[in-house]
Amino acid sequence: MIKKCFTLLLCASVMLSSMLFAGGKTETAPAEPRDLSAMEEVDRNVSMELTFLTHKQGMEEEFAVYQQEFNKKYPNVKIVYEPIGDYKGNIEIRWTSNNWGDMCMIPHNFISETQLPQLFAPLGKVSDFEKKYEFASAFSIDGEVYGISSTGTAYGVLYNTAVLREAGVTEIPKTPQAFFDALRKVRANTDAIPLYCNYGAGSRLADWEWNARGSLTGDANYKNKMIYMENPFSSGKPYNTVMGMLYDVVAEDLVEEDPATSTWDTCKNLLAQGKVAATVIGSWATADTQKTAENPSDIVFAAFPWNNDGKQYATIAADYAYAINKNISDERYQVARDYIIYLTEESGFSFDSGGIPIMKGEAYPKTLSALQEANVTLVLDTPPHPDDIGLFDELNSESELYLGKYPEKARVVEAAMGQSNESFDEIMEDWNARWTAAQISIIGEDYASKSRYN
Amino acid sequence: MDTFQKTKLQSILDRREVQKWMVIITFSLTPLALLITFTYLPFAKMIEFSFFKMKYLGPRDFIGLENYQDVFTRTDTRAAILNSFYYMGAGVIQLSLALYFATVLSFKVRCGNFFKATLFFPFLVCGIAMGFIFRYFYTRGLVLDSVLALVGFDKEILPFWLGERSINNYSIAATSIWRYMGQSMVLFIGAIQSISPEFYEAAEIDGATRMQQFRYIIFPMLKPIITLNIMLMIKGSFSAFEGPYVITNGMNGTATFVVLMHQLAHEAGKVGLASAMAIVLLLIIIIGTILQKFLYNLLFSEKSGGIL
Repeated sequence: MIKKCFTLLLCASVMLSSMLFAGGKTETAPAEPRDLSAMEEVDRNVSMELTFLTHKQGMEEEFAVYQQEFNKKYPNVKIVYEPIGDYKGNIEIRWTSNNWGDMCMIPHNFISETQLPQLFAPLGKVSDFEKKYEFASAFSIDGEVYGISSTGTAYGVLYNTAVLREAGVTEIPKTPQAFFDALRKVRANTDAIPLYCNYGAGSRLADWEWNARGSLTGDANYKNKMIYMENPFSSGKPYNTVMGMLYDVVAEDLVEEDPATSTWDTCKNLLAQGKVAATVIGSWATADTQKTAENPSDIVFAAFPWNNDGKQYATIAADYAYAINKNISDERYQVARDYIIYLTEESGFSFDSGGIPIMKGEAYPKTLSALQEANVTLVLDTPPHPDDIGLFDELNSESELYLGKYPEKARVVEAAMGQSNESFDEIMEDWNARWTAAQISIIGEDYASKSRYN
Repeated sequence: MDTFQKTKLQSILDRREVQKWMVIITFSLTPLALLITFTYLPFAKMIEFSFFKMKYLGPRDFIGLENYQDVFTRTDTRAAILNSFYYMGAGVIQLSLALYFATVLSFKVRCGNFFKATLFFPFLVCGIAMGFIFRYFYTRGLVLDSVLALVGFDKEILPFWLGERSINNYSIAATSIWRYMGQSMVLFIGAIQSISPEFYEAAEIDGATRMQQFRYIIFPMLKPIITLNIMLMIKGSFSAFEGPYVITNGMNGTATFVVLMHQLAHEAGKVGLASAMAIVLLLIIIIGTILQKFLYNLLFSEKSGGIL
């Protein structure tokens, strides 16, 4: 008997290993558009547990409130939040299995649009969402929405106005010239660090780049135009201007003493305490910093120091978005969708976290009132032409310029600190060369003539 | 017919040889299955990936050896490999210190166990936490600067430990001495304690000094464990990751091969290229280990009349 068991085990193991080797070949099919109206309506008393993978840690209190509110609609549904540390580092690996959970957050600027249908269930048409939502198209492809942004971020500069006043600067700068003058005055007249560049904090350094698009050009199509643009990093073009300002602040020694060890937490505390005058960052940082500051009204978020004939713009972007696993049953899908709609429309998450409103006509949180008072126009990148979807990401990856990320910006800072033997112009020339090479290899020699955007 | 076959099978299964093999196979199944699933299968996948232009998700294009060509022609990979030598230098210091402490602590020393525990402790600290500790340690005006100021250094002439390209790799490599010295030391202590005390007694009767005991008894007996430690050190220096990743994020010329690999795979989305780099790294480590063995034989073997 025992011998037979052994033989069986042997066979089983051979089969198992062959299965293992065969596994992993299956391509995940894109989600079928789900027709909500055709689905059977879910019983309100349905009992289920939905798992929600989130990047937010330490928000148990808020989650409990959402649970209570949501239970008014579905009394027996329990939402189990699973906070994941280093979310961006881990979530992609979770997604490779089909049953990672029911709902999750999609980090912004993280996966390409073409991957959305392979992972998530469609939530509805962009044309429908657009009527009520600000960032309807941010996580969409072919007119279908796959993720709803939880809040919005504007890019610009966070100032401590008390420090500016002490240095003798009365007005928030609106031109690069005024900006540098203000920083120099801070250096000369106070003990504070004029601008905290966050070089050591990596990803915060990348925030500079956002301003190179909407904030400087006011053109929502600028990112798309770059796909076909010849040498977008040449002198006089917005990227060159913004990166040049980054180079200059570091080269003029208007930043922290030891950028290699700077962290965002340090920056936040110093800014709140009046030991730093300004930092280039997203508006999400405002609420956090105000919470730490003795006098919150001193902490003001303003547009990037630039204006086109007096008119100021600010690039805005979606934040982490809510999404639903495409592999769950219709019943679970409907409840999950209702929960996401509740989170966006009723929970007040965006307002509470001090972000750009995600619903049209919604009030701005107090933290961002300065933007509204200065009459700054917000500019959201338009999604590319359907045939160009994913192209920008491909160029970015091929050229290794790390647009939207920090490594190449770090190179600019290192050159400005005199750590490498490159000049700013050499770096920009290199960027141009690499971008052009990627354009030629992906689009073709005649890339410039193929542009669809004017 | 049926019964005949069964009995034949039965008789085969009853044989002693067959039984023995059955036991061997069934007992090794579980570890083998785990090893295959979690080591060889992913490794085979990685070899496959290295021939593709691909991201984790999305389409994959077969491009043959292009990734390998890239690995050898890029300038950043060369710089990253050269950075490994900082860690190798640190490794030599680490092993020498470890051997020194191990020898001292193997003899009767007051509070010997306390010192062993103290020196071994850093190895137990998680690499990421260690990274954060050293980030603060090296920050301008914090721990290291204050200590140096206390012993009389002028704060103005102290360098930026992590901010200056001429010094930051030394700073980070030094943290690996702190972290791994204890591990090597414990391996050495284990080996030294397995040497029979009779040797020392005999040596002492013959009037050998401590130094001579080390030279003629301990050191020759330690050869296998020294070889092992050097192998671990070479592997460790080529694949150094946690230190440079957490402390400087690989910026300002501190990117080691694995940090660069991580950046290319996860930030630039070139998983195929990163896989090719991983394979090349494996080959480099194998070659490094063989070279080390060769050199070691040349220096220490009795036949060739080595220098020691």
